[in-house]
Amino acid sequence: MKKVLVACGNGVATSTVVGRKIQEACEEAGIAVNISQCKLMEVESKADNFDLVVSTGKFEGNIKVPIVNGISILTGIGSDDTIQKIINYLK
Amino acid sequence: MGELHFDETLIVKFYEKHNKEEILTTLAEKLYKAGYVNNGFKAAILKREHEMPTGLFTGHVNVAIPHTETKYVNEDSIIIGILDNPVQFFAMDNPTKPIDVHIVIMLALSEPHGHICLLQKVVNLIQKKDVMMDVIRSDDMNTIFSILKKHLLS
Repeated sequence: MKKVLVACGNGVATSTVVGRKIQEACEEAGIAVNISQCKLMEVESKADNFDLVVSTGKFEGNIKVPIVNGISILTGIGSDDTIQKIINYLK
Repeated sequence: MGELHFDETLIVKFYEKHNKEEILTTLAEKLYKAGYVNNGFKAAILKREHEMPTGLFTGHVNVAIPHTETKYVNEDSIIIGILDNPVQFFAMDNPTKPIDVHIVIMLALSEPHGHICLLQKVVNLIQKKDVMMDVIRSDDMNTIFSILKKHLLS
């Protein structure tokens, strides 16, 4: 089971939507995934427990886990590419 | 999770030139007067927007989706500001990147993961260029409400 941490400013709104879209895309691709959400400021302390971080806000800390900018999943511009990038990390 | 409040009185069209703080203040004050948020909401919205902006560049009608912590919310509600003159916000994924916004969708949510459906509808709506253009072109509140209602409440 792959684990993805989705981060946004408050950990409330946009991470919920992005997390759901990632879940659906992974299901379609046959990848078992567990999605967690957090606030941007929590990413550094939590990231090590995950395979991938996806963020809608700008993350400027240091983590060992790959991080993908998830903003396109909200705006629609380039969202397919972003989803594919996420899937490629998780395969 | 209670009922979501959204009706014609929660759509505000701004014709004069404003800055983003004025827009956010007006919208937050309306929610407060309606009793949907408490008196900490306005300051929290302004602070959050300053520290972690919510501007989204859609490539057509850009939006901002200001929201803040659930503890400031009494009853789930949305209020929408339509800006005749675009107002500069900053991008959610790059706080130094300015975005000229035409529609502000202020969300007051009382639970961290509640209303996923609504949030998905907001995200789907902002990607629909034609619908967004219809909203900003109209001056009739009833027309605007029926467009938004169709996409957000059905």
